Amino acid sequence: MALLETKGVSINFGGLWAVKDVDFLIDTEEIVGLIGPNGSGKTTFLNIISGLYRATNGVITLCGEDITGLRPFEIFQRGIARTYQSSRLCWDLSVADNILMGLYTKHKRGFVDIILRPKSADDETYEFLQECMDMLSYFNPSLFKLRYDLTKNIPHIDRRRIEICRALVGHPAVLLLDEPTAGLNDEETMQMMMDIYKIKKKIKDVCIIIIEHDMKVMERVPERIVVFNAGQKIAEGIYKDIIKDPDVINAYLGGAAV
Amino acid sequence: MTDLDFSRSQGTKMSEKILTVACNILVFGLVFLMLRLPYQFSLTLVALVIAALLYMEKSGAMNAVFSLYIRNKGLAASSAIVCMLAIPVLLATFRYQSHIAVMAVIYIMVCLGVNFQMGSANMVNFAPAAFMGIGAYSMAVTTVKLGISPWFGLLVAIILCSVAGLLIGLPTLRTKGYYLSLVTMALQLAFTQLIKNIPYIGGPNGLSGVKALNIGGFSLYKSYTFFGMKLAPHFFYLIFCILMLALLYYIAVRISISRYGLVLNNIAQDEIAANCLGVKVSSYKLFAFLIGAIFCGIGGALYASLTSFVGPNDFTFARSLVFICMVILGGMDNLVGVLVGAFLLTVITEKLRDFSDYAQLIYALLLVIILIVRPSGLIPKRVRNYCAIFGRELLPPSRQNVSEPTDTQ
Ligand SMILES: Nc1ncnc2c1ncn2[C@@H]1O[C@H](COP(=O)(O)OP(=O)(O)OP(=O)(O)O)[C@@H](O)[C@H]1O
Ligand SMILES: [Mg+2]
Repeated sequence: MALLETKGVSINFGGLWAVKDVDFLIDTEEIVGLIGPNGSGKTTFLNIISGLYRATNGVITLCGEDITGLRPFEIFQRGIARTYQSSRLCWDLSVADNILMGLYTKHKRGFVDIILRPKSADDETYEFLQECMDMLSYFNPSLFKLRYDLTKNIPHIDRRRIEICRALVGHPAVLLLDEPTAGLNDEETMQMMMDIYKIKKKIKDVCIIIIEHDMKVMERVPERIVVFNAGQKIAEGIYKDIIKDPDVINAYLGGAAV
Repeated sequence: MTDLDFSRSQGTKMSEKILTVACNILVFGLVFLMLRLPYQFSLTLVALVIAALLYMEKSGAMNAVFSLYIRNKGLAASSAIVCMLAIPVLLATFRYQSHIAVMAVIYIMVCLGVNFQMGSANMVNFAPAAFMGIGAYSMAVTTVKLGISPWFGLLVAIILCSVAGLLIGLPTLRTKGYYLSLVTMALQLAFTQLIKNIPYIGGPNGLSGVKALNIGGFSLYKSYTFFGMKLAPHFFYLIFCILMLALLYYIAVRISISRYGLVLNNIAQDEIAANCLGVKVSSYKLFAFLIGAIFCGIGGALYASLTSFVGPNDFTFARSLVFICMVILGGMDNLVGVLVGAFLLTVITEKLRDFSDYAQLIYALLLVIILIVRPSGLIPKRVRNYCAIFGRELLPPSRQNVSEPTDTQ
């Protein structure tokens, strides 16, 4: 059975079908790439899955359970974490604080503990922070020394890494990556790709949906690719077949011609 | 941010302890002088303190002081309480100065409440005076109208303010930024109008004869004579308020360093991201309003019990603005900053009581200067330094590399 499945998912923005009738499924441990011309509805599709937009039609299931129409925080609690096309880190908080937010739902100590049993609450936070630091070191041991730096002061590529850390630290079942290499140069894109590779090796039981324009990444990282055009899924398969698919070539050339 | 070398500071040295206590004595010595001196000297001192704070922040000395205090937090807290309690003793026979001190403590409580919303969650609430008013009127009605113990009044104030906090918080869930501020502004104006039009609580004339808090028939606000020395009636009241403030400050610190503070900061900066990380944003916004309202309410109840009179003019929009100025001046989301801002502005207002027109002018001038020179306040917010908070450092990645080979699965 598929881990995450969408059936006939569509969304209408004032007459425009930004996503139309998308059937999609992803299995445990799988990496699926999502490609398509600009404005083809990839981000919108992720937004629907993560609960930011409510689908006009269609059903989304996670492990066979219907999660259609749940709110973003409920979706996260069920194990779908994400990153964003343009970073949504809190720039006025430290790196450690940002990643710690990824473990928010794991807290067991309540308000009373925080006030009356400060030691136990602090111990919990300490443990969580240590987990965050471990996750940060998976990515790049050199990030550790930046832990108390304000996020706005660190390099762009590291911010991208930290955002992925924040999404991964709570061990989600599904990770949605929206253009993790946006704004990175070729060399950094390569580094980021290696990082995602490494992560996938380390944390086996997470499945990843990755949106990406860079074909070098698409060739190597995902096991399967889904192509969007004008809100619809027009092709699906392994990289070698996809690049030869006439519909896909047409969509990209058509998009370039406009 | 500067990193603390923890292995070095683990066994805190004697000299550090002495330094901590000395710092506290210096700080509260200055507090005492600002309260005690006649207004010309007191205001000069206030100006010097502001200049010193600006300089210390710029030169990094403030960070050194902060890390000193955090490293010796137990000692810093206990010696601060002792020093604070020395102030009522030193001011024991000075009636007006004691009054200023009590007012400062009450205003600090309210500002700590405002800070949850404005500092941590970036929701500018223009109605703290209304919350304070609800607390004050709760106290007045229970003691004057119902004739029940003022302790009960304090409890009623807390309960009513929680309810009011939630009610005022509700419409703000749907509004953001300027609109949220406008909603709270409207509610503040409505509050003043409302109490003016309820005859039961005295309408425009207010209620007088509010009872002071007492412990077993021993009134906390009364002139006692010790060894022929006539004490200011505020003596015990000030002690009580300081202890109350210590409690509220502790709660505020715990909230701000725990996940509540972190989540509020996150909501302030990016609600959508917080929501997508599993945070039920609306409950946290309500939480900020609830806890803030309780702090304001306690301040209001203590205020009513101090002045023995409540009237609609004490809880106006202008008063709300004063609280907001205090928080901005001190430093949003920095609790020490909030203390400092509230204290300094209280001293300025109270010392210029006789020239209240000038007080407004100085107020406005000070705020403009601060907003230009240092928009983040005298003591801006700090990054949470967890290694200092926990007293132990997070382990570096080297630990990771050691454990890597075993992690073959
Ligand atoms: N909130 C919204 N309201 C109205 N239209 C929207 C909204 N969000 C997206 N759209 C429209 O939906 C379409 C798909 O946008 P989307 O951002 O999903 O594209 P994308 O595939 O992620 O493109 P890119 O590669 O540029 O990121 C676009 O035409 C966009 O204008
Ligand atoms: Mg997109």
